[in-house]
Amino acid sequence: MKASVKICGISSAEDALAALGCGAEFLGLIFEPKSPRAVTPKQAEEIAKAVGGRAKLVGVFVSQTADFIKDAAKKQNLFAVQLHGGQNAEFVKSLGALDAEIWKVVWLENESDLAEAEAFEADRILVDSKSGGSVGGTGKRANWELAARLAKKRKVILAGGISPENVREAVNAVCPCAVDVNSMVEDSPRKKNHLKIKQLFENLKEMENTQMKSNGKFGVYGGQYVAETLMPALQELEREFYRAMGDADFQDEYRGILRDYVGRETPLYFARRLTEHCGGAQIWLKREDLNHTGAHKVNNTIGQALLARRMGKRRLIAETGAGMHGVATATVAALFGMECEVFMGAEDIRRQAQNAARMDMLGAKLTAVEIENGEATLKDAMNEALRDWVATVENTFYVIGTAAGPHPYPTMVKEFQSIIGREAKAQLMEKCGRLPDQVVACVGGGSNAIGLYAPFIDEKGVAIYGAEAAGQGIETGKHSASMQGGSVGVLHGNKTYLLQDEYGQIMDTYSVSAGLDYPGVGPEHAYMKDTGRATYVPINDAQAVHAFRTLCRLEGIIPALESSHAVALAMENAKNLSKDKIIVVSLSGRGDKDMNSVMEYLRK
Amino acid sequence: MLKELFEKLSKENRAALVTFISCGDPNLAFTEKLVKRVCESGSDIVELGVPFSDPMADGPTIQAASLRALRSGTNIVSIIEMVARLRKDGVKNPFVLFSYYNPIFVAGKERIAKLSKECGVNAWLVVDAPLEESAEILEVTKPNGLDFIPLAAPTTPLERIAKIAANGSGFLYYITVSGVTGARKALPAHFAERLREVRKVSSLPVAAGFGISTPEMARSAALDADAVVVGSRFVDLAHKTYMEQGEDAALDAAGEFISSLASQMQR
Repeated sequence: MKASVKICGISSAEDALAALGCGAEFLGLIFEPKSPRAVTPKQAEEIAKAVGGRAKLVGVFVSQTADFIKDAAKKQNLFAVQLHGGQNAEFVKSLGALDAEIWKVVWLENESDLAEAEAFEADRILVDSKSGGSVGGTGKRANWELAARLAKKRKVILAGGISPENVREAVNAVCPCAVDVNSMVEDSPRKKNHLKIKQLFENLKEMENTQMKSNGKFGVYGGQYVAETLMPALQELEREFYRAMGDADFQDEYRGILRDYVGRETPLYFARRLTEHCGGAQIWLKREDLNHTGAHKVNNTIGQALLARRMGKRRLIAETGAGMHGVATATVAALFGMECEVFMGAEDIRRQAQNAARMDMLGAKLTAVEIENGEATLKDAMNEALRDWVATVENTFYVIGTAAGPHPYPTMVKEFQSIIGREAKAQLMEKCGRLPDQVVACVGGGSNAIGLYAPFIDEKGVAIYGAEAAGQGIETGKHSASMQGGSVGVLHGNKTYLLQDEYGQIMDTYSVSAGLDYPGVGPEHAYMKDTGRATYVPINDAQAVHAFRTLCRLEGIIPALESSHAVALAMENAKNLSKDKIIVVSLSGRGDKDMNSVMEYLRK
Repeated sequence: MLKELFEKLSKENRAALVTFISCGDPNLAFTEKLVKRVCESGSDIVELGVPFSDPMADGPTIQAASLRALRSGTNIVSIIEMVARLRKDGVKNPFVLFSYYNPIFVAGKERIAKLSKECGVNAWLVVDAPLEESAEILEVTKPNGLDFIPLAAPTTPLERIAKIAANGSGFLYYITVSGVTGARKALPAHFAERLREVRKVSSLPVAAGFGISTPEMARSAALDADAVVVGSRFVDLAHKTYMEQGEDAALDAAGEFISSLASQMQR
């Protein structure tokens, strides 16, 4: 869905240029003298001169004669004339062969208004709210439901109280070809607020960025490679997800829970002693370990549980590796009063006994996944969750924790985790007044990484780094670094880099950290690796455990083993950069759960 | 070839019996004999299951069979090459290569499609390639004259089933239950009604699969479907008999079981 923007009620060249600079396609000039935003023909000419053909000018007329309109259209080279009064079909005819589009303003209140609007001879129909005789600018919302129906048949421009805050919701609800914005982006009737205009365009762009991926492909990666039984459910989920994204109530509730229950925002912490120890760039830690439940996973499970509730599903299932996503899912299930079952590899339950116990305490059913002749890990847990889902899809919502899986999961997980990056970006701006030079995160499936990267992907000056788990070393074959040591294939619903043999059989993986012990990676990471936007670096067990101990001793922070991979990479990178450079690291989780694994590793 | 078969069976007022075989379980030499035996015993079509390390749509029986097959070193190429030997020995029944997408994709879809054609495979059924992902497969099956067998499920709306059927060829595989593969004790409720609706919108003959395990179930499915698929129950029987009584006994048991189902296909 893509909508153009018309900024209406432009009364100065300065406002016109600001709107133009933000990306407005149409600028509205009101020729009705009674309007507080009226322009005289002379002012209109000055504005047209300043714009110099870079935006399409739309003249708004109420009581003017046909001759006046024809004259203005010609002189100002108007792209369209917008008829805002009771002008009827006959009046339109009297305008003759104009070299401009005719836009007719309508107010929709009932079915007969709709029928009349559908039939009106005009190039586009502008749907406004009833404004008691004034020419727009009342801030009142039009009837979106009728507008949406009209938009199925005619080219509709939606006006009436469109603001930076509701523009996404409006575009999603109505699907207009353009939105008309006026009073909600101004300080007073003759003075537009340029920051608000900029915000409006940013909000629209963010939505388009999400929706551009709506076929679920990142280059050749991603997709929906699942059994047909699941397809209708995925399609329903996709529709609901996009609707929810444009729904202000949903967003408010989501943000409210993150604030009051999870404890966001999380701090962006300057690790002074770690920085001094490395002797190079400044290392800043985004403290996702301080979230309720102890990791970033909860950002996503809350979003997906809200979607589940919206879709009327009462049972949540999840796969988990290190147990953090399982705990986060069990937590939201308790919070929303839903049934919950978590699938976890038997080997991981042993490695992460504490998290297994937490899920039990939270009231979730924990199902141990076993496989013949091997150690069941995250991949096997995901297989089993998919098998459950295919049989229970009518009443069950599958909460995927990683940025992989069939569309819309990778996009959805990114959206819900992007809070990490958005906060970090704003916090660093506030503290240092600039963007970081590097962002660093660990990548298993890649959910915390894509969340941190999201708002930096379009910032070309920011280098993006991911730490893959190299286990005992890529050369030993005992690792989980699918982008360093893998090839392209299809698993768990998406096309991506996988650790597999020449016949497409998935290989056993290994990492000291259960959360990175996965043979694939989210499709957007695969895409960013190919395009070179991100650099993925193998970090082995020894490096991760060293970083783990260093952060404990120098900063009094016990990081998760997964996050320790990111810390290790940041420490390496910092050494090679000067002291004025800034690295932001996602400290995705806390390490209480890893005490046994680290002790065991150190004993070896 | 599938088209002609269904036309012929329709005239005879008989449903087709389709047997799913987990290839390479426990080794490919046995599979080769097993395919011959089921064809002789009245299976009209054989689905050759390619083992995959992560069979997400399969229940415990076929998961275990796939692992055994992988341990014996079976791969997609050796399975297709087996088809060439079967054709040389005069086996004429249509063969459907039944696989997850990854083994095809990684071995090279063009290469596997060409090899399929050369060796005498008639169709592909790709479990995890729904309508939305089918284009990249059709671009290699079509030029090689292979049918692409589409799947529909109980969750699939009828309008979508019509599109799915129109996108494929050979027959439409209708998954009778929402869930993984595996033997079940009875056909699902409203089986007959749903199948009639599916057949009404499908431009292809409709095969009913997933869970069919007894001659009684096969008989009642044959009344409403153009074809009946037996899978897990057969895989289980062949494997257990093989382990307990050896190869010959397993072939005999498999042959008898297939005959008992084949005799139920006449309407």
